[in-house]
Amino acid sequence: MRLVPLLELRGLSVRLPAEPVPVHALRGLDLELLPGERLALVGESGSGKSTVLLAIAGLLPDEAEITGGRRFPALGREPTPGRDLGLVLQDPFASLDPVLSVGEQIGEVLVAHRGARWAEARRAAVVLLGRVGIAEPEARVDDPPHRFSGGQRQRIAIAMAIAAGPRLLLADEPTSALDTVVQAQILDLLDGLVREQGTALLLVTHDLAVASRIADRIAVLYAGRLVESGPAFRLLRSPRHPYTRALLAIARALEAGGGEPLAAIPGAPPEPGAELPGCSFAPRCPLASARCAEERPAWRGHPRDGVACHLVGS
Amino acid sequence: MTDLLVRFARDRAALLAACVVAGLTLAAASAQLLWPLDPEAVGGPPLLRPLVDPAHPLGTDRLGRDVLARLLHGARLSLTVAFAAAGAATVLGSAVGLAAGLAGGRIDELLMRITDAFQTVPGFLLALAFVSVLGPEARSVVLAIAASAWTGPARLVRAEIASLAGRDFVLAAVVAGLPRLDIALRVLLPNALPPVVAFAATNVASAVLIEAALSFLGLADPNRASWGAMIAEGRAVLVSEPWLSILPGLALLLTVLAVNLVGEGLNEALAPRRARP
Amino acid sequence: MSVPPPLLEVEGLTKRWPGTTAAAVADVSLAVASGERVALVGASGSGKTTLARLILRLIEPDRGSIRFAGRDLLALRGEALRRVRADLQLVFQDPLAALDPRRRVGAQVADPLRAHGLVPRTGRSAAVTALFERVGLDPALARRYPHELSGGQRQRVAIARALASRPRLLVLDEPVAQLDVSVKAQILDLLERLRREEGLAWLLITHDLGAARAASDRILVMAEGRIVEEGPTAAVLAAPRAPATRALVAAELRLPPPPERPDQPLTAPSVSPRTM
Repeated sequence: MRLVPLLELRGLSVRLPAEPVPVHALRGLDLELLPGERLALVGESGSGKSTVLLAIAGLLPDEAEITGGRRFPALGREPTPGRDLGLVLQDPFASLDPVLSVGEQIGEVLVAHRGARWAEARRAAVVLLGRVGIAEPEARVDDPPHRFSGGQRQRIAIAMAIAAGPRLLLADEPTSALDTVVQAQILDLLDGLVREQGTALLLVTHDLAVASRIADRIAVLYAGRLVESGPAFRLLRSPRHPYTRALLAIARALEAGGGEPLAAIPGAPPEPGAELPGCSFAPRCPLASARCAEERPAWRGHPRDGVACHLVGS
Repeated sequence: MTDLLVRFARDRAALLAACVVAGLTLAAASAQLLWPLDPEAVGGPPLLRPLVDPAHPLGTDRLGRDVLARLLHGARLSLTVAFAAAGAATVLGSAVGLAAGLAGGRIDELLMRITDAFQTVPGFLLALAFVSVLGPEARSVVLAIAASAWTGPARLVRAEIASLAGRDFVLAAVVAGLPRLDIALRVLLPNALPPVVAFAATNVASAVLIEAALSFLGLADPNRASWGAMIAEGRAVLVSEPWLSILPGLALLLTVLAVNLVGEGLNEALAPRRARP
Repeated sequence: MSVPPPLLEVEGLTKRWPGTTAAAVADVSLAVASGERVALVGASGSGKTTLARLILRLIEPDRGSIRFAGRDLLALRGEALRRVRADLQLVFQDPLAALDPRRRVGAQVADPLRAHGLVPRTGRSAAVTALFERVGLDPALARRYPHELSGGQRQRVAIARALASRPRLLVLDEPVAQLDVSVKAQILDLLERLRREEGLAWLLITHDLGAARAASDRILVMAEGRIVEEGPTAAVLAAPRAPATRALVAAELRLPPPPERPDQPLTAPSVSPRTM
């Protein structure tokens, strides 16, 4: 018996109008997410990782050219943002209204999507604030967002995102604006909440260490395409794609210290408008052959555990 | 610079408005060539209605002077006075604002008190006072308008300087070792000016209106055609021949609207550019 | 036998912001020797950035002393202070905010050259080209505006500007916090290469223990405005003593340990370079 996926992306391509050339943000992305699964999408800026989230939430600008599909088989209908999808952004300021109290903002989600009355919504907001670790929630529920620290605001944004009990939580670099100590706390909070509620999580990050803390499965995105995906333990222990290997090597060198050069990946990702015939990583790849520059590598292995690289034997 | 033009041109309304302003300016500058009738000469029967006689397409006024010629020459006066007044106000105001923002302390306080004093007097009243003392020449009208309009740019530049002072790129210029004057002129002023440029357009629009109002009250040079004076003259026959007031009124409306739209477009185009994601 | 005085010597430095009860920087003393790599770590709000700005004389302390290259930095005013800035440079956390949005980046890299009269006017563009090449940037980018560059390129521009006057001490305020991991590694490698070539010292301010490990030999841990622990980086991070240090080390996200034989993937596929 096969589990019905919660989310299925098939050949998703997104072009965004831009000057001087349109940005080909995603170039045929296949991805699936099972109910309750926690997937980290890892990529650097310009890889298209945030575009994936916007596409899933249906929040891409009207001018975007979208081909390929996104389906929600386990849901059986188009998801309503706020009710079926929760969204947590990097900057909690972007998701919080500066003039409303945090209780009103959390309550609003419940009133809008769960048909709650205002009085019960406020009580529920107090409970939610407590669950995301805000001390003395009864006393703080009527405070506006600016009375809270950056880490607390991110907790409040999470409370809003999970208020309606969504099936899928989308998180875009939720901890990269926070310092190390707060970052770990927020990741543990997210981890606990999605486990308790059985919510699926799609977390976007540039940091494999963040991914390793929270994800069951990791998908690595480079220049708008998946280069590798697999169970977190497999991918972190035996990465196959040269890009994944290089990222892991850097992360491990930073953990080890010792004054050796970090073996940084030379060069930079292709310009967002560039069209390369072969593998997008080939220009930076230490192992690249002529074939890599000419022919796009096909996906090898299982859709949920595979790699797109000519150098990996099939 | 081309970058700026491209972004400005993307705003259709602003682009259209800029074309209107350019067209008006061109028409005013080449009034003689475009429509070589003397605006002050009696050239036809009085109170000729528009679109009747091809010799006077917009008709004639009570004295039989050609309305189209008077409108074009009126545009020349209105626009010259308005641009000169707004320009003078912007330069003076920016200098005061920059000095106050940079010097701080007592100099800042003194300059801001003076600015406040000018600002408490309604602009039109100030202009009235100036013109009644200096006489009705165009030059004193310019001075009168500028005297009330410089306070806006002064406050704007000072506020911009204050908000820029703590920004990282200004601190970076300090760390780089740039002398104070260099920082003021190369870093602070270029970053403080864009909102002022946009504001200057608003000043042009209000200058057009003040000039028209002064002429309407008969306080400007009575020997030169002006939109305000034309509206005032048309008032006597407003009921029977309303076009004599409506035509210069429309010209005024079009000019003020267009200049304001240009200002808004400039404001948008000059806004700090967003980094690419 | 005489020990040369440290390049930077801070004693009892204190700064309290008006309207706050606790000092942002409280009685901080530290020293950085010539050519030394020192990291200053702490959670946000611990006073790291305030300390950096105090050392750069961008804000005035309430108490304490700063000696730089044997001179009393707090006694310097006007022209003398401007001159000393050639030797003491700062790289900001957010390169986009630290670059003037309305000037081309090449002109900004030339600022220190012009300010300190280091290169005659005619040689400036060649000097900027050389600086761009040193930090691994295409000199053609000098004609771009900051918003036309990527995050990593901008930080390279900021580093080129900081190096233009050949400083002896670089204060690096979270220079890699806003960068992707791969770009972070590039910038840290670049800084280390430049340090060896120029013989400069730095004070690296960061909350990122990975960056501290890679780019410092000695570490200072700051909490609530005070230095709470100090020592060799590897030793302090391996066996932290102060509660604040322990909290930082405990919160660091670490990857699961690598397999025993890292070159042999557990699953079948193997990488065979250039043979396919």
